[in-house]
Amino acid sequence: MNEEQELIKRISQGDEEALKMVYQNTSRNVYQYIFRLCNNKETAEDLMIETYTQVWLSAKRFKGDSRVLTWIFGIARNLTMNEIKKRDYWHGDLTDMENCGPEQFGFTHERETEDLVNIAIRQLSVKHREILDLIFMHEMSYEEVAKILNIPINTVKTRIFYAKEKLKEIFENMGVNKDAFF
Amino acid sequence: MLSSKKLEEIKSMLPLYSKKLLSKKDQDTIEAVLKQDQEMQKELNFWMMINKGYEKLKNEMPEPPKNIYSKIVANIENIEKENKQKFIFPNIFKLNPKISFALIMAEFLLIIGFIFYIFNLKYEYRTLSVNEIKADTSYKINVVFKEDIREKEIRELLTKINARIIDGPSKSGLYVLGIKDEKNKDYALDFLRKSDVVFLAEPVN
Repeated sequence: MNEEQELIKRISQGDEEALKMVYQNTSRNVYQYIFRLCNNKETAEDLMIETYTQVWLSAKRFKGDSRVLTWIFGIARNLTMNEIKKRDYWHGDLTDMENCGPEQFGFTHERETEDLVNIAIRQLSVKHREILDLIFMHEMSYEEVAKILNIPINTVKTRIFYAKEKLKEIFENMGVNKDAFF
Repeated sequence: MLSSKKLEEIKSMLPLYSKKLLSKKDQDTIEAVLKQDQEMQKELNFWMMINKGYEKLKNEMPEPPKNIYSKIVANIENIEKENKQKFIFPNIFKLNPKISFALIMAEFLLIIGFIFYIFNLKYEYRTLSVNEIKADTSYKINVVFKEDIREKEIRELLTKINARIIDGPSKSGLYVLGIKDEKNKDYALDFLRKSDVVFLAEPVN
């Protein structure tokens, strides 16, 4: 049993200090993951409270077959998706982005590549964006992504493929010079 | 020359390669392909660009507010307090589904059992019963009292013939009376047969 699994075992026995240590090790990633999904600071805070409360309550059910962070991400995702279903966070959020036409991004060289990428990623659906977030922001393997999203690994790969196709389409709509990237 | 299936497989691994998340063996395989395949190199450039965007994004992401942990602890304390109050009637739907199902079934059976018990009570004779029946050598008479008889009337009757209940009632309302003084057995039997409150009185064979 490794150190982080030991901490979860201690949590299951009611050790509050162990919960604090797990929180310190994982909270930054978990908060940013939730925030990226719901795009709202207050909701992200509420969901953080719910997530770690759930960690405390269901520590006994942790099987130890994944990293603790992967397990917590799975909990956070379920809670966040339920919240997203309840409220339509993304409705209206992207109005400034959705109408971005080629004329606004005609001068690609004036914009930082990173900014363009971020603008394009924001226009992806939650389904595609979260998979890229997990890989590029949280450095998860495909196995871990599959576990968090509760989907087969091949579905992870398919979603990455469609996310890439969608991104290329968005870049084209933004008027980004194709040769600049591909 | 690699098969197109293998090339597709390698292509699908490029996001992980761009993040250096692959094993040394997988990295070497991909690098060998990249040297020969221009299209694969373009694909990698795309993911490198996405990675670059994410690197900047990571630096711009907000940090979790500092007071969240204390709120988590307060929330846990509240829940545990509520759970203690719900100890007798736990919210079974929050338990493991199998345990919840078992508890629901157990509660259902208890309720059904209770309903049957109440239902059956209505059809039983509500008469005196005997506790701690012991072996009795006295003269015994089987008696069935009339349905509307009261406990007080039975007691008066038993006093008059110096008898006591030694068994019963059965579901059909049968009592066994013991006559303490065998000399009075005929008198007692006759008295019971003539009584208005006795439906049947017969000596036990």
